[in-house]
Amino acid sequence: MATRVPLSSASPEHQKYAFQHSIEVNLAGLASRRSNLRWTIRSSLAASCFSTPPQGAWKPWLCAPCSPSAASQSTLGVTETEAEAFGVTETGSFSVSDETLLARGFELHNSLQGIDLDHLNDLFVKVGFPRRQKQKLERALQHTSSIRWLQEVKSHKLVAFARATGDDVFNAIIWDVVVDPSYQGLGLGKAIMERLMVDLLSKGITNIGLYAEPNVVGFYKPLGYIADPQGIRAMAYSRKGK
Amino acid sequence: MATALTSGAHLPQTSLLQSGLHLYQSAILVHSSNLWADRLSQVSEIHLTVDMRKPGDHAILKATFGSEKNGLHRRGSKLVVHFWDTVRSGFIKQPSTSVTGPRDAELSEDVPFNDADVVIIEKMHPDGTREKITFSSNVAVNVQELEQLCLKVGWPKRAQSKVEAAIKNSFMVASLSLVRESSQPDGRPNEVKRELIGMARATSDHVFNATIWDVLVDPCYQGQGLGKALVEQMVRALLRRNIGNITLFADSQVVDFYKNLGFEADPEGIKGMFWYPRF
Repeated sequence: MATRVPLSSASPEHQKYAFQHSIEVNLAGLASRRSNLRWTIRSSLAASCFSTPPQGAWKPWLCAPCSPSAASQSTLGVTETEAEAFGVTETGSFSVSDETLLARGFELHNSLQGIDLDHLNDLFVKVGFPRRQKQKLERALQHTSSIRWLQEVKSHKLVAFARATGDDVFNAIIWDVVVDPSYQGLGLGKAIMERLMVDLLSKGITNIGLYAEPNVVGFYKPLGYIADPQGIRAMAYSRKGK
Repeated sequence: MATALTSGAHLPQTSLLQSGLHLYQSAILVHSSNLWADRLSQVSEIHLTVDMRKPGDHAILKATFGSEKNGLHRRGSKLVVHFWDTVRSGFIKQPSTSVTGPRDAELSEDVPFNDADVVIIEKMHPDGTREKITFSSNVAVNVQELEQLCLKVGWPKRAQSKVEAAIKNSFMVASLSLVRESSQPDGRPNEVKRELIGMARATSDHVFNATIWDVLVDPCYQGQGLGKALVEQMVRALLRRNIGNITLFADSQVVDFYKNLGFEADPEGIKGMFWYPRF
């Protein structure tokens, strides 16, 4: 039964149509803890996400039987099955595995610890972002709930970075996604994004947005991002006035 | 007779944010005396009244001083506010006429908000009851009240613990309150009732970016320009904290609403994107 909900805010998590589906749980299929987690995440996604995907078809994956897949533990403590559990990738594993990253000489970090802010600023400048005041940058990062960055082991270079701010419960916005131009095309940006998203989804955050410059919209689409879904527009305050 | 400024119909709140608009063809000038600057930190309420007798004359800025709400003492100060300065700085400090905000050095630590409440609408009733709708960026929002409000506007119910956590993790939670003050006969203190009628919140990294979410106004109070006032005051408060990038995502039917408040859609071609679960 579909109940129509009047729109009164700019928040996309509150949709025009809040469907209340009866969620039928196939208890027999919830054998493993992994499957349990998958079901929980998907039902909460259903409750809070757009009820009708832009494509028009409603995927009945709520009632789909759960199929366990092989688990593999990485040295960094992120299991590849987490990618599947949150539906971040189709294959069920990260596009570039933790092992591959290491083998290629890149170390993944998920906290501020060990970061060189001068290197980060250099990276920003390399991709055309403004250089930030170091003290301000540090403060901003301290108030950022999710951070992922890649460091080339040999050169200690900071080669990729992304962060997400939000209320840690409902909404998150991803900012400052950067990959060193010399290291682009290797899948590093994708690697960072997928892991950042798993982090957000594991916190139960289902409303993940970002602001994409026109030339990188194509980078985010394969990651599952849709521009202007249902006519929602990104807006920024401009002091230039009317 | 001086008339208390009421809703946006008389003084568009937006005029104080956007340059190029005149207030009754009068320029409002602010004297920044040190005295004023010192007192400003103690101000808990700001009323702007316009003398209707002589349009084109100066406006009267009244401020309520007091270190604690209970120990308020009123003073009317006939200060003349420089319109262009307030517009340019949005009440942030400006070299020549500093109606001040916290200095950059102070902002390097997280100073709790002590911004004054702003009265949006005020009504005096014949029986002595005073009703006013105020904006606040630093009063704690009661989660139960908020839940009632969300249900009123028709939003799906959310787990209270989650809402509490979301509020706690938000950089700014702004609220509109209906404050009813009824005068008691025999000199007893006035009875004050406060009701939540609007809310908006912003998440932020405290330095560069802020994103506004969940803007709502009680349906019973919609249509009076309160939503505009809410967002406008919130933007001002964020600007006072030197947040340079204030963003939001607007449903198609409210894009114009935000455009009128100074927001630009798809600035420099930047597109808002959202993640969809597909697998």
